[in-house]
Amino acid sequence: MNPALRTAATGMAAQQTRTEVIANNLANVNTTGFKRRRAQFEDLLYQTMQGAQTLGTSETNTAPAIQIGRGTRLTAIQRLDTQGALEQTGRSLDVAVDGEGFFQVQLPNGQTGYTRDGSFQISDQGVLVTSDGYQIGSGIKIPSDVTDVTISPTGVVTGNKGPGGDSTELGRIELARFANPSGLMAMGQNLFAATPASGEAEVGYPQDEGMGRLVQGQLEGSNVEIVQEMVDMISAQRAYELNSKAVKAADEMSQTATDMVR
Amino acid sequence: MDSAASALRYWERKQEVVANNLANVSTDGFKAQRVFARLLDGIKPVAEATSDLSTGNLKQTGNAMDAAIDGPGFFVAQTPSGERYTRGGSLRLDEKHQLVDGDGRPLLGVKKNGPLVLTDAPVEITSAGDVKQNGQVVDRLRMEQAPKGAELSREGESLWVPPQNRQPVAPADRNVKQGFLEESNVNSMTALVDMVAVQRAYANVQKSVVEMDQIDQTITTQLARPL
Repeated sequence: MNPALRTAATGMAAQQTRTEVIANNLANVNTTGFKRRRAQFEDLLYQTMQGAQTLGTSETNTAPAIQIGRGTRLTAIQRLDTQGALEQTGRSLDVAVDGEGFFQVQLPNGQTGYTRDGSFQISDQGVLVTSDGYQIGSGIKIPSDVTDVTISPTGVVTGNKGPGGDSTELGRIELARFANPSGLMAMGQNLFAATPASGEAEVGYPQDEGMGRLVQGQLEGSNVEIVQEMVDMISAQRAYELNSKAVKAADEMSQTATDMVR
Repeated sequence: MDSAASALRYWERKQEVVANNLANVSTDGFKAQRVFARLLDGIKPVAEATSDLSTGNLKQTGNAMDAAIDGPGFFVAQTPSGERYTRGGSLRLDEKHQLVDGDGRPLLGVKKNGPLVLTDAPVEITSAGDVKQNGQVVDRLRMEQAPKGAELSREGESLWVPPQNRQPVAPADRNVKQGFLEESNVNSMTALVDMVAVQRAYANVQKSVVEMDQIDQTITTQLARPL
């Protein structure tokens, strides 16, 4: 069979993956703290079809070896951790991270998850949790008689006890950061898990040693830009079409070859 | 007949190369291959391939760990099979805090002639290939190229095998762009036109094979008939 068929098929598969990634980006254009992804490809192994050969008697007259590639493959879906736009919500328990760092989340299985989504709530036990009900950090208790909860840029959570009461410190939100944030594994629900590729979490207070600051009353929007995704989608679609044409051409050439025998 | 068969093989090779170029239109740093025919013994065309090493379109990504080379030259990466050339791409830090390419292969620096070990601080890459952190130069990335006219061998996975006599690229001649990715330099229009041309040429040669066969047949059936 004509190897060009298979080569073109790898090209079509690559463009399909690219479209899937773009579709996921577009679907998450309004997801708090979402980071856009990008599919990356590399060429496959090359096959040496005819070795270098000497032409005639003169040694300087040589034809170099010809190497033919066998297509492309997906290497990585890279997450682009650029800052998303901060959106004003006015809700006192909405917190955005402006800069580096993830909130730490206690998962039911005892592991720690990481998120950029700061739309917090107070659970029935009076603890600060994410919108999915997972506890933030080691647990910040917010008693029911506390009003006017404020979260400072450095993560200190304070509230007023009773109407006109004194302001008391309730706890402090810590952030975690990684040597290679793009190595974090996405778990859905806006959560990430540490992996050997991301490295160990380095925990610290906001605005300390390169950590970002917290902004109360705002949420970090998705960093997906619709126009960029649209342009990428068109280019993926065209490239898909081109590769399908290559499949057709390879097929027709095989047909031509078979037609030689009557 | 022999020369027609050789021509058919040539057009098949060319089709395979064009298909590979098209499959890699979205592969960052990919270099298109071109195929030429060389006449062997005056009648038999054989395929000859060269790589088009021109710089692909540089796409701004804003990601500080993306690095592209504007102009000639390659970064040197460490792989299990020895040193290999690469055109850069999405870099990152691995678990040992080494600066690695997208596939986790460490890029080599000039100073220690080994991998660059960085901290968590923001990374700055200058156009001469100096990697800076907190304003301090950590190391300079090694950059090399093949002598003019030498053909580099491809290994796949965006890697190239260094040639016999390597030449370092002088810092003044370097143009490393941080926050950019080099797109594939395949021109899809040219590839498409090539593909159609290959197909037509292949069909023409095939026709001449069929005709030669018919002539042979005529000779054997008509002329060899006893009078």
